[in-house]
Amino acid sequence: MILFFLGIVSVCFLGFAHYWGLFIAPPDRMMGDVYRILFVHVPAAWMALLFCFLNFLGSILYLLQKTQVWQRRRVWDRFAHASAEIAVVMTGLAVALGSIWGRPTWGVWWTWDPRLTTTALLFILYMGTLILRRLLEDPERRAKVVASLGVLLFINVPIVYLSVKWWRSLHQMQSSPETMAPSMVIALRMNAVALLGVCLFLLWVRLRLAKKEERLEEGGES
Amino acid sequence: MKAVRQIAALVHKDLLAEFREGHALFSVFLFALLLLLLFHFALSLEPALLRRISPGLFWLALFFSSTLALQHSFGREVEDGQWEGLLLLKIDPKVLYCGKLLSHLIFITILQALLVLPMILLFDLSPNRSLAVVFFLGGLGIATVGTFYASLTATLREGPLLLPLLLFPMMIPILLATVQATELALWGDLMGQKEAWLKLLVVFDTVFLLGSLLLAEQIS
Repeated sequence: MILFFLGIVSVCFLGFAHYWGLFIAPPDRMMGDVYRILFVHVPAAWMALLFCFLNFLGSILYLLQKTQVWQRRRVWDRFAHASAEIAVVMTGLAVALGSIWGRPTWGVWWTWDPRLTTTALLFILYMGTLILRRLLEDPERRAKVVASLGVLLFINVPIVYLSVKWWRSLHQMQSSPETMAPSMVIALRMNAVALLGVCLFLLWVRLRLAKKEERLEEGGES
Repeated sequence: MKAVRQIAALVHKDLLAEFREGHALFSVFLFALLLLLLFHFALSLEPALLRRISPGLFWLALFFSSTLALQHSFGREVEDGQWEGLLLLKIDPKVLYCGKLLSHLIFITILQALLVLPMILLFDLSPNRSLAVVFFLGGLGIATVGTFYASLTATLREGPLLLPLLLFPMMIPILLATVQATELALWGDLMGQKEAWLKLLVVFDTVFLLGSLLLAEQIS
């Protein structure tokens, strides 16, 4: 019930934050109104990273836990699965919005920049683990294999980022709060908090769904 | 000591199977050669430009063909029930992983050596000794991640489909580092950048070798 409330509040707050971002925050000196897409793009990218990290956390906790009771073990597997799905959605959103923003600003839909390439790669990598999850039938082996991949993937992200960065770079540096108008900063932070609420709500819904799926799976077996 | 003997036995078994069949190495080599020719047709560049990008083509050809070899090697194990047999022998999964890694690394090294002559002839390159380090570190990286992912997908019916999808994104740092280091080794390294790329390769190899060894038990 509390979490359902969280869902409704976050969606409403997201609406309010969007309104602020669209109408109250001033237009950018260089980019005009186009920059407003960043109020969704930047939080989406943050959430993508956060949920990739949560997936890593779930994976590593699954592998490290001592308990042998499967019903308790699989809690972390469920958590890793749910966060991987949200990570895929958020990376997809970040890349798509970034691309739409890049067209009027940089003049191209796509550029071979470290952060862009790494985010697109994250999308493919986590999508791959989701596909693998569907193909492995034994739940225990599935949990082990996907958790191992989750750990390796996440370790690879900084290495990929570093290597592409050494190679070439174009993405603009992050703006710091000091260089932005205060109401822009507020809009960005509000959007981030709202999106975080929505993502947590989605995570909760997904966890509940996973529990029901598992019960169905086990019901089918016995 | 026992582990070393077991690894040696595993590598011996793999190499024996490889050379008795004989055609696997040869077909993979021909495939890599074919890829180089296909790149030439697809890119339709002048020889000078093609020569400039030839290190990238070489490593890409090696990526694709070595994955083919990996699939063949693991496919044979699973088909004949060897894989189950190996697991039933109660060998430490780490040892099993090391054995497969080493035999794949040997395969890749032979493939690299075979491809050097066509590269020299097709793209008019003059290789030098410093390339050996790049080849070794790159080959080790490809073998490390490749073996781990292949043993994940080996028993799946959709394995052949899934392996490249999961594997190639992981290998991007190797691709970038090896191509850059090869270019610098071939055409001179005025700014001393090669060291950095080699270090990246060393880091990648170490991290993933350790990671795969730690996780080997989880995937067998």
